[in-house]
Amino acid sequence: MNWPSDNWKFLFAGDGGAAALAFIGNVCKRWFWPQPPEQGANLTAQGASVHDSPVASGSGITQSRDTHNYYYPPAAAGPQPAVESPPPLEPTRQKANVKIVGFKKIAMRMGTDSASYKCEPAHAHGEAVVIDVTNDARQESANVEAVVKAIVIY
Amino acid sequence: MRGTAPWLTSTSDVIRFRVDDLHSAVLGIAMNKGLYVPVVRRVTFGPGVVGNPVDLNSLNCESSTVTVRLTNDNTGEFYCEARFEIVTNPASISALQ
Repeated sequence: MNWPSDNWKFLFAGDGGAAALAFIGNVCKRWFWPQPPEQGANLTAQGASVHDSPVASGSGITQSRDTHNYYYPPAAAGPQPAVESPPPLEPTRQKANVKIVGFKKIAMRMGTDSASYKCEPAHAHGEAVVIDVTNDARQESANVEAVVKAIVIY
Repeated sequence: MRGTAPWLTSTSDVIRFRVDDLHSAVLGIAMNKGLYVPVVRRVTFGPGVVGNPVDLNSLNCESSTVTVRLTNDNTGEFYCEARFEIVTNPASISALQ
C-alpha cells in the first residue's frame, strides 16, 4: 500500500515520470476540457441510400448546400437540313366547259350598234361564216360562267 | 393576220358565257363578191370610255386556213382550239383535223 510513496522518486523522475505526467495530463484533458464538435465529416453517397447518417441525425446541425446554376445557351442555329416540303396546293379553280360545237354560214345584218345579227336572207347585208360555242352544263363537276374571247389567226 | 373575232349580237370583243349558253363568233363576212375578216379592236377613248370598232380585212385568196383559240379574257385560261378552212367565193367553212 505504500508503493507510491516508497517509489515517489521513481515515478516522477526520468522517463517514467514524463510518461506518468503525460498520462495524467491526458486524462485530465479528457475529463475537464470541453471537446469541440467533430468537424470535417464528409459523406459521399451517389446513387445510394444512406442510413444513420452522422450529418442527417442529431440536433444543432446546420447543413448548407451550395447551389450551382448552370446556364447552357441554346445551340446556334446552323444550316437546317433540307426537308422535302410538299408542293403548295394550287387553289382549285373551276373551269368552264367552253367548246366549239359547230360551224355554219348564216345570213347576217349589221345593226346600228355596230354589232352583227343573224337575220332572214331577205333582210341580210351579206353572209357570214361563224362557229358555234357553248358552255354546256356537266353533271360530274361544278358549272361556272366565263368571259371568253376568240382569237383568230389567218 | 391575227386578231379578235367579234361575237354575234355583241358590241364587245368578249362575251359572257353563262351555263348552257350558245354564242357564235364571226370568222368571215361575205359581201360585195368578197370575203372580209372582221377583227375587233379595243380602243380607250378616255377615262372609263372604251370602244370596240370592227375592222373588215379583205381576204384576197380563194381559200384560207384559220385557227380559232378560245380563252378566258380575265384569267387567260385556255379552253379549246380548232382549225377551219374558209373558201371565199362562194363563202363556205369546213373543219380541219
